[in-house]
Amino acid sequence: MLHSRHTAFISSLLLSLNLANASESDIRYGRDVRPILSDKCFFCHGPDPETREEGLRLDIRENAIKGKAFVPGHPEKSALIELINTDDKDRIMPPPESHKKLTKKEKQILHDWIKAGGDYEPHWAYQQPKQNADDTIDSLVEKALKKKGLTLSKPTAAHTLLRRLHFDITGLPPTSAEVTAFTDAHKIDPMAAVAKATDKLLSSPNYGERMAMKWLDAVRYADTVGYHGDQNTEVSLFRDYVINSFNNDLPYNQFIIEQIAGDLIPNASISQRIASSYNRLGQMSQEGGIQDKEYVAKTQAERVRTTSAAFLGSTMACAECHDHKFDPITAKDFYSFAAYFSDILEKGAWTGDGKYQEDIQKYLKPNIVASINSRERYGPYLRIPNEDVLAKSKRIDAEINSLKTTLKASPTVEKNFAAWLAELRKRFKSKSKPRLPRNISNLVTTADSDKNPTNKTILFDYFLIKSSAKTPQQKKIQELTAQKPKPTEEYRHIVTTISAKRRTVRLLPRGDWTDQSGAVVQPAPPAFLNNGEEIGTTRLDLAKWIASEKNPLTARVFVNRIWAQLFGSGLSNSLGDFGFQGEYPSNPELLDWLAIEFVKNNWSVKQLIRTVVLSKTYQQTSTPGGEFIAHDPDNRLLARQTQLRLPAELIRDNALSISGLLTEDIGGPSVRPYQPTGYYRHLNFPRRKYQADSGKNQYRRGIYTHWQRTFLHPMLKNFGAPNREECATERAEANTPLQALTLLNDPTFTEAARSLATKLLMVNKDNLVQRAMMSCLSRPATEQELKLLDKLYQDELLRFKADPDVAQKFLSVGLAPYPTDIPAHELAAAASVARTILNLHETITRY
Amino acid sequence: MSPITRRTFLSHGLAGIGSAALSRLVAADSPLAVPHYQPKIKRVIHLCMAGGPSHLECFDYKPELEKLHGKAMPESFTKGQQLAQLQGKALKCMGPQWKFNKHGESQMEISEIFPHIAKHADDIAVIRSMHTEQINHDPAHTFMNTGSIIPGRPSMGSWVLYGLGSESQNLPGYVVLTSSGGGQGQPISSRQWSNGFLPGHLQGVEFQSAGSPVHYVENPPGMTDASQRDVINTINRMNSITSTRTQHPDIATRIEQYELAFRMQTAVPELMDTKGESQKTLDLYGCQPGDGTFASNCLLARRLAERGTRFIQLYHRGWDHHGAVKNGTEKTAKLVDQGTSALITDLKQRGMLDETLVIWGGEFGRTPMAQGSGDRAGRDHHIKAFSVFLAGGGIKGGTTYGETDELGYGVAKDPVSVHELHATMLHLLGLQHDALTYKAQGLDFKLTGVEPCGIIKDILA
Repeated sequence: MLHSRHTAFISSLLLSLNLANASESDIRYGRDVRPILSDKCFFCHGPDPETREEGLRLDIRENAIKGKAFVPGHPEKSALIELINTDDKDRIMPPPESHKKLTKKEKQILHDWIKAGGDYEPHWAYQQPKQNADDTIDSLVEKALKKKGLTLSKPTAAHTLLRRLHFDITGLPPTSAEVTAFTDAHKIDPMAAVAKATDKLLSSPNYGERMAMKWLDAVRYADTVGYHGDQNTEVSLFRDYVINSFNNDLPYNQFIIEQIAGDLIPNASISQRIASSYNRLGQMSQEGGIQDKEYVAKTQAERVRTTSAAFLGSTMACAECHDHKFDPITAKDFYSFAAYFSDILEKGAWTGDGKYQEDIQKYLKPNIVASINSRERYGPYLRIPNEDVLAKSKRIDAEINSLKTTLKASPTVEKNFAAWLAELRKRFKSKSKPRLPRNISNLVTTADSDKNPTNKTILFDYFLIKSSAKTPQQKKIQELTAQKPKPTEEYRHIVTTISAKRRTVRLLPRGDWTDQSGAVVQPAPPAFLNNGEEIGTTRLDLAKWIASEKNPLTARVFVNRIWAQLFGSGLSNSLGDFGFQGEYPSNPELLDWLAIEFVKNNWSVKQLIRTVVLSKTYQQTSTPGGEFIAHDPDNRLLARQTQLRLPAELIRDNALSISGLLTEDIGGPSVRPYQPTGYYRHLNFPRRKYQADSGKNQYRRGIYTHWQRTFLHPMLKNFGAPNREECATERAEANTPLQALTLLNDPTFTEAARSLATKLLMVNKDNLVQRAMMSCLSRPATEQELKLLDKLYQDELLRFKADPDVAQKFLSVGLAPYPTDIPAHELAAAASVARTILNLHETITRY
Repeated sequence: MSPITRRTFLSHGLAGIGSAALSRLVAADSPLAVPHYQPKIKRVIHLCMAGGPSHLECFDYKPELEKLHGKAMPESFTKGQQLAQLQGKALKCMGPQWKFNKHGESQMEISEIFPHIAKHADDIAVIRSMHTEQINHDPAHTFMNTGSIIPGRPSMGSWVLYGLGSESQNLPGYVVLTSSGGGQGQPISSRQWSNGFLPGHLQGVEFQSAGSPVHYVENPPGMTDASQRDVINTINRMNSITSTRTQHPDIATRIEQYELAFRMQTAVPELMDTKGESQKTLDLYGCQPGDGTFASNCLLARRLAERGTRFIQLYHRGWDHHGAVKNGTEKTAKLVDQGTSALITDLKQRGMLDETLVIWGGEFGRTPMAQGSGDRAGRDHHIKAFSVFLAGGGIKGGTTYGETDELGYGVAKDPVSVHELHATMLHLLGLQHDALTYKAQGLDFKLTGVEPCGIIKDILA
């Protein structure tokens, strides 16, 4: 049978992992028993009264005993034990239609647990973490390993370690020179060398970019609104805020407060107001026919989902329609949480049906505008002047004005103007009417309109710019006008959070927005997490409550994600769910230790990373042998480091960096790398044409790529970047043929290969292949590898020499210039080899 | 794939212990290896009529509505119900705009705008009692495809692939083709064929009819198939060396993926090249090779089916007839009628219809009330009732299932939810819908949602 086969696989895996092994004497409710009860029993015998069967709930000990589920100390007298073991199909638990089945081992655990007294314990994640100050990461890992008869693996090689540090901290590879210097220093004093390299990397501005990547997944940052026409929104300032915050090591608790309620901080800075756009990053819609109330409900629910998952690792989403099936979160908690955000000035539907809850006019100021253009009307927007550009505009305007003054005084120009106007008026009476802007054509067609000085100035200005230049001054004006930055360049905008009149929030029965019969709720945090303490009703109160060290979830959830970034798996590997269905941590003491250490160090993310990477645990080899990997594929035991495929953005960054193409500018509006033609053809309202960036913006890091939610750039998508329609705390990893096709044929990688070849050949032709390998892998090639690549190089050399046109074609991919004084066949052959190396598994893997 | 990898894969796929380990899968793998019970079909071809075809002009004839044409819609039908663009407007009935004729032994009533489909009256089962939860295109498509309105859930094609794997060694197991015309082209999101939280190799791969059919499937200029082969050979040999050194099973999978990529580079152009099809076949579909029409996509669907693709989805964007529903439905029908019919005929004559399920339908229906007036009168979105039809293996041809009320507004008999449609599709594939689960966010997710849900037995042979 299918099911028994599956469960057998699972149990054999668990046995080999030995994570959750429990002998009779050593059963812990939280680790061993609750996961079974939660997964197999709570759906019908848990917190949600609506689906509770027989009035029995097993999640509370007194109720379970009162409901005669078990008799402590006496499995033989316990109904629970009898029902899970019976052959009677009508009575067996869980019932067959649930498709849940207990394994032999699980049955044994329940038996032994009842025999030992059937004690419960509070859920680990809802308790304050505890720390023994003498412990360290290594002591806690080694203690856990010792129980399994294991030890830490040997330290990894210096060059591997440096490459690991680079990818983990800045996301960019080390240069060959950096590898050599580090290797030498490491020989003398390993710890000092690592500490020095770490500090250097942590102070690099690229650190913020690396850290922002995953954070932007969690807060569902994207450049477009996602629903229906998927129009552009304006949010890139938020991305830059996140990068800067990590670079400035803004304490994580402050980072939380600024995002949820930066606008409510007294005398909020511009940066804090930008941060609070977090609240407006969710999807929006302009689809004709949608209803305001429906989308108000969608928006509020999405905010609860994202805020609870991103900051608290809680699946409050489940309580939108009913009380949570597993966790003590009620539907009332869901809507009370949503009510914290009800002050945000916005519409539900961004159509005619949509209404702000208050007149937006009273909130508009020079730097708060309602819309940017006819399609980007997801107001209010915060308008931030681009000082350099504005200065340039001002300078040009001044110059134009002084030229105009000269011209206005000139009788010749006056005559030219009159002739131009007369001619236009004549043409308006003919069949081929000139096409002019509305205000100009109105003036032209109104007789004597130029007698009014204001109107005349408008016409005269238009004349100066549009008529063919007859004087040097007019020519200069036209040149200057062409140089003037566009109004869109003078300001950057961001959809912004403004606190206005609260909307009424009701509990929606079964999540149905058309049902307004539910009770009105007031803002409040989930009762079970707060012990009924009142915390206030503003978003700022909520933000402070989440960011408090008293909140048992916040620090744990974050350090666990950092751990996952540095080891591949979290200590609890359900990064977005610390509830009952989440995974009991593989090393709870370590998770707690990290959380407390983090808070003690004033929530410094840099310090957290420094602490982890300086540990022996982090610096172990990731290649301890196949048997090892097979038995613990996700490295939950931490008896080694993990081999991790680079995330999508870093695969791009790595290729650009190695090849020397990378533009290292930080921040700015999103950019458009090469993309297959026609990829946006299904977009409408308006139709979209993708124009890839030229110049240095073509070569920016992946994090700056224009994030079109409905059609994410195929390279990013193929390597598992989420479309960010919703909060994503994990990326689904896969290994697909589309990835191979991307690395082989995406022009970005072909161009990078040519640029790497160029870079190497510009030095000289010696050891070409060896140097290419060193650039990509931070290690020299072996004899065997050299032989393979040399053979390819020679074959390609012959092929390209025989047909120079083919060589030229291959070299023509991409916009970057390349030197013509290197023979085409040599450059092409070197590029072909470079392309091969850029495709290697090792190139896109951090060891 | 080594036994160890396969074992870890299986346990991870089902227990959801971690997603990282799933990277070790190859595309042809599935978590079940065997279906839950004897399947009736091997594959699904979903002809998605995007925009919401009017059931009242297609498969659900309402003479009573004709009698009330131009009169006020009785309030007993519409009071308190959700409307889209007709909110706050006077609601007037609009009779069916096309004649319906009876076809086949089953005497099935089909609109005259489908002369070709009508020939298959005894092959198809029409469900007139579909209803949905979402009144706007984007969320309604999401609901139809993923069974949920929350973005980020896997599409049905990904679920099917997760359940059964692919049969193709050279082509993706889930392919999407698109065409448009005949009505307003509402945008469509790649979310509709997303793998959601399922592993990435289960996503739908969109083939384009213009340019490169699959992104990055063409060699860079200056690379021939032979030189590309040399490069891939070198990559794979280098990767093997690394594999020996690091013993990581991911590398074996990567090597396989490069082989599969290379095969795709040959197989995709071969698939798309319909020049070898006989004139008779081209005439049957009424298309020219590679013209990007719905009909030529139908032909490609047959070719994909022959090559083992498990789930094939054809979107035709053009059924959103808020205005001129009469002309509009005729125009759009003309673009899809012959292709749909040809696909059924062609599959049948090749003995493949019995192992294929063809689903034809949109994300919702359209109101019995007019939107606008005169020649420009159209119909608004409608979620209370709409029609779809099914054909192929396990389907009782000639069946008309379910009824709407006399005005075609609500379901009067045998309502069918989107989840029930999904459950029935999975059933035909040999999959028990409530046992096909995947653990994410602490829950055992199903395509068919949390409410109990049955299959539509009466349309099954």
